[in-house]
Amino acid sequence: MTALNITPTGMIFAFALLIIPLGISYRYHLKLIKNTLISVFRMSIQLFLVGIFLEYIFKLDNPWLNLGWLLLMIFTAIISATNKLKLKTNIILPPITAAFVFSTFTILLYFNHFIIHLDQLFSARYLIGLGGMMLGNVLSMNIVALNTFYQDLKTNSKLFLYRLALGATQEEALLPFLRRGFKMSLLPILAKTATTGIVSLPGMMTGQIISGASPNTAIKYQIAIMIAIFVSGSLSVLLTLLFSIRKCFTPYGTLKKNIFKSQ
Amino acid sequence: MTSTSPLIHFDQVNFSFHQPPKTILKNFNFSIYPKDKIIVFGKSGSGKSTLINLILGFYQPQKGTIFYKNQPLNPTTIWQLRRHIAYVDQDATLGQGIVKNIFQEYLHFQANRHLKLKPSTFTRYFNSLGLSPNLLQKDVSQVSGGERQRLALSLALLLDRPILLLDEVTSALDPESKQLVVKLITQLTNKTILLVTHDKIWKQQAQFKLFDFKEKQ
Repeated sequence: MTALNITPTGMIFAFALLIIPLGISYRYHLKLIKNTLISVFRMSIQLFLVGIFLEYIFKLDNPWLNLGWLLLMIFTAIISATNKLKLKTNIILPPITAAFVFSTFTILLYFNHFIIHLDQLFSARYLIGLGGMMLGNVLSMNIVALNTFYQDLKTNSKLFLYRLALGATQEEALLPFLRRGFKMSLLPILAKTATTGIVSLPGMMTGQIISGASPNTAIKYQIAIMIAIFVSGSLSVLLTLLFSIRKCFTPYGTLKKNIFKSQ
Repeated sequence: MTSTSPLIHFDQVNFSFHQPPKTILKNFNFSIYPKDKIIVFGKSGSGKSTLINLILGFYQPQKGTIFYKNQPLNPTTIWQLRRHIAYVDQDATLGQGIVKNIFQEYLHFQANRHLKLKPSTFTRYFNSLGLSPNLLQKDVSQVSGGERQRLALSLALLLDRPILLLDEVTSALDPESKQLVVKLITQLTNKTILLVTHDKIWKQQAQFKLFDFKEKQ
């Protein structure tokens, strides 16, 4: 059994639903009509192109091509992250690249090998599908962690300097700031994890069920991927924070002044 | 150690801020000898705190050198110096949370572990500073500015470091508490103390050498 294809008429009905948010925007002058149309248009075009591309990738299923596609996804995530970060791109690019590549690959390969026992570790369906799910979360968690950590250091620089002055090592002085960065990035995903299955049915699970997998298989995948997302997120946050610290502080232990983008 | 060798020495130091441009120190020479008690007196904004920030390595001089025990301050020596200093900053920034936990965290720094202080000793200086032992259980956000200042001072004293850098430690205090703080600090004969203030009460303390920041500039 496979999922029913959606007919062109069906797609038109899908787009027709947008009348509701557009109507809300019009009625309350939200000025989001243009924004909504552009966003939906972009999403449709991107997915349409990706659809064509993935058809080929899945058909060829060449490990190198799959790997290349995953790297492209990681690279896009990195660019997207640097745009949303308050830190200068040239400073944060190397730490974030190392952290994203390392955490995504390690957890993904672990997943494919130990959890689902794939013979072909770089199989397109798993590498690209699961990689995409992990990356989306890694991206948002890292943005939150880095922005919280460095903004907090800037706002509460007195506390940081006070700790240094009392003889703290670099790590000891940064501890409350690291804690806050970690917490702010991990709490949303933890909350999401805790309500999964009751409040929300995750996309992957729904997708698997619609395309004919048994709910029994679907939930096992979902449990494993939620854990993988949480772990790759935590690992990447740890690495970006630790790697970035090496670049953002002076040998005297203080925060470098020129690391923030000018407003 | 002979008392002729300074503990901390500023040698021909220049320091200025870039934005907005302001020269704070020019060819500045200044020595602190062991067990010295020095008050740096001057109006707020005169750059008195800059002296402390330079000693702690938060600022680096544009010209000249600062020595600690005859060694220039650099990325290696600064970490050693910070382990010999107890510092109370202007705002008595302690951190967030319950006072006792905060004390515990600072006393658990690698630099302080050898002290092996138990929570029962945290209040050692509370009485002489007019603080209630109940403060230990309170959240810092519920503690008044004056209490926080004295808490930071008692923490600094618990660390038992040879050098005390005190930045405006009496600014938020009522006259009575002020007297208590002055009395306690003047009894610390073994410590080297650099106290930055614009509070006239310190000028009356005979054992303190007065360094008028504005006049020397």
